[in-house]
Amino acid sequence: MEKFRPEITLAFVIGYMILCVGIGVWAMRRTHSTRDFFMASRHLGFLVASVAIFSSIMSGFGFVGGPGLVYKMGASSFWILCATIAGIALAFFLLAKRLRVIAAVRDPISLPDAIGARYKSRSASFLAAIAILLGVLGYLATQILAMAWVLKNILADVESIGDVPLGFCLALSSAVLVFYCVTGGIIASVYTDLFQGLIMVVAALLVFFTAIATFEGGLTEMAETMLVDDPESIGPWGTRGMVCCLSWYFLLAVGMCGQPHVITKFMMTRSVKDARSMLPVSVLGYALSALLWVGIGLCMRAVVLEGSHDSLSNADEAAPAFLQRYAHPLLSGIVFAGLLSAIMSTADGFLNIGAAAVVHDIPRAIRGKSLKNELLWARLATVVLATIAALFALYSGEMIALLGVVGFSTFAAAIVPTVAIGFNWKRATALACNLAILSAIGVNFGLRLLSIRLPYEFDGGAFSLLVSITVFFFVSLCSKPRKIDPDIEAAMDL
Amino acid sequence: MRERLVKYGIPTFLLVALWVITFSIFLHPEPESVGGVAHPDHGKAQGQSFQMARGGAGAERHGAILVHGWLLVALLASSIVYLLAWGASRGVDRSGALSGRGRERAKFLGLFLLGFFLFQMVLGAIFLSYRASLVDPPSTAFWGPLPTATSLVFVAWITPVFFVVLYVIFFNRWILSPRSVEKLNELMKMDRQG
Repeated sequence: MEKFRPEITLAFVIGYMILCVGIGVWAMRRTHSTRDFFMASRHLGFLVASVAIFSSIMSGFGFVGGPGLVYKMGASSFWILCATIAGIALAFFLLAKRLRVIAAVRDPISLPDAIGARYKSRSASFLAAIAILLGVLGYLATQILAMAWVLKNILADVESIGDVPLGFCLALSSAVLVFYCVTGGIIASVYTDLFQGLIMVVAALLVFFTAIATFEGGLTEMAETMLVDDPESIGPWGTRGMVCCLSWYFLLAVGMCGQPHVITKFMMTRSVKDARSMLPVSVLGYALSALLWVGIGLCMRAVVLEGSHDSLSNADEAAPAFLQRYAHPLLSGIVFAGLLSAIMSTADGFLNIGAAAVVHDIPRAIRGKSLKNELLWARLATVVLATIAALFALYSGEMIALLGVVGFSTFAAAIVPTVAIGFNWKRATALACNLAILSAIGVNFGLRLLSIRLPYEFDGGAFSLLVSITVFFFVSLCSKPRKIDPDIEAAMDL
Repeated sequence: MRERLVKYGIPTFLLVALWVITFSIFLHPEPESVGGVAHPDHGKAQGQSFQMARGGAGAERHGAILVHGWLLVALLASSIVYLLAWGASRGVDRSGALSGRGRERAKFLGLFLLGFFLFQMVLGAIFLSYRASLVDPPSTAFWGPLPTATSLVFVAWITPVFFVVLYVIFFNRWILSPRSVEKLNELMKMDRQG
């Protein structure tokens, strides 16, 4: 079986892609309006919604970047994981009920729609859409590029295929993604997420136990190997240091309720009551799939330090290198499919909210009304956005890394104050909302573009989140709130 | 007065304190290896960054700001628990279940305070065991498969499950009471009637 490892992996990946296309065709029959396309007609069951939530959070960053971070900086990135349960809980406590109730009352088809209704402000809705679009473009481009690299590596290992240009892999993988997103919109997206999420959990569990079994003494032996080389690397702060870890903790825990591809799903469920079952399922799903991050990362750092594996030329090779060397071919096939799942399940959510920003939120904020044939435009916008992101991924060089890095923090800084706080606090004003979004974009991009490094490696995204929350809170206290519409006020009182 | 203190006083204090502690860390002289250095054997440089890092001497990197770090994480945990409690109480305050001085309110406050102390204890323990490990880093004590402080990071990871359990158990009382459901149905009915 070892001889056919590349072919087995390829077969799993092809099977996975065919299933995604199949779900796209199935979902097309259920997509008749923009409400179906962007909000799944608010008919998602709790299981589908909760798996879609955790699989959207665990992106390619988690499956490829996570083990790479542990390889590179030891235990530092455990703080990113450490923040997630608190973050998911915060998102549910602050927003699950609130957003679903507002969805029931006003029937918004996107987050900026809900923001416009809450603040009675087209500028707030417009700025939120711009912040979402900026974050989506960067994030989407990095996901598409990661998808292409994974496919290129898989194909390169198959002798009869060999080295294939990156552009071809990018076109092929994007075509599958775009197909199911265009045909089935968010319905295809969440049902592929369900399937993708299940693959991710199975893959992560199997990989974790395989990684532990690599060393006779299991995790303890890995930790001891790292301790002998550098005690700090396996200490609680890893090599990156305490302040950096704590700033990540802040950004990830509080910023989770600002991730539009996650919180938009709160508006899609059948009933407000579904939130009760969704929270534990989402937390458990994420916790299990995060085992891959810890297992592969520690194992690869330890085997390299021990001398039984060559140093990696790039930390992001940790996961592929582990799978090729230590995993059974069948497991390797499942995990590579899981890897593509992790990437695609995040990318499809971004495509959907990005398309909503382009064809619904921005036109409505400018013209005060929706476009005609919105569904057709939404499908076209999905293709155009994916094409722009793919071209951006191929030709933008370092710019893509910049946008990818600021994606999460832009969402967090722009949306946490305006939605997570503002939807629960009647004193919040439209002016504060606008200034918070502008400060979020300004500080985030300003720090990165000007290459400003904060002392003690304090994360720039965490800093911008602190700035935007402060701006939002104090400007709200100092400015006069507009009267909230009675139905929104009643929804906020529930 | 008490309501205003909870509503504005606590968040103002938390925000101001977060800024103060952040800037007090920024103003401390920064050791050179604060973000790690390239590993001498495996830190192959690619572009500007290295692929494997070493942390170096923990006492040198963190000794001077360990208390600041503990204060920062204590404030972060306080902010998170405050936001969780605020999110849970926002609606029910209006529908009356948690207003006044009833048993339900006492239970709500008691359980959130318990969660708060659990969270603070675990995070505080990370700092204490890390400080203890700085005396002789190579002979750091293990708890389970990892050094004690690192194992506690994973305990801190699962501590918020306490609040997840509260959410599930008390959903019908704190998050969405039957009275809130009735109100929502009325609201939707009114909305449909235009």
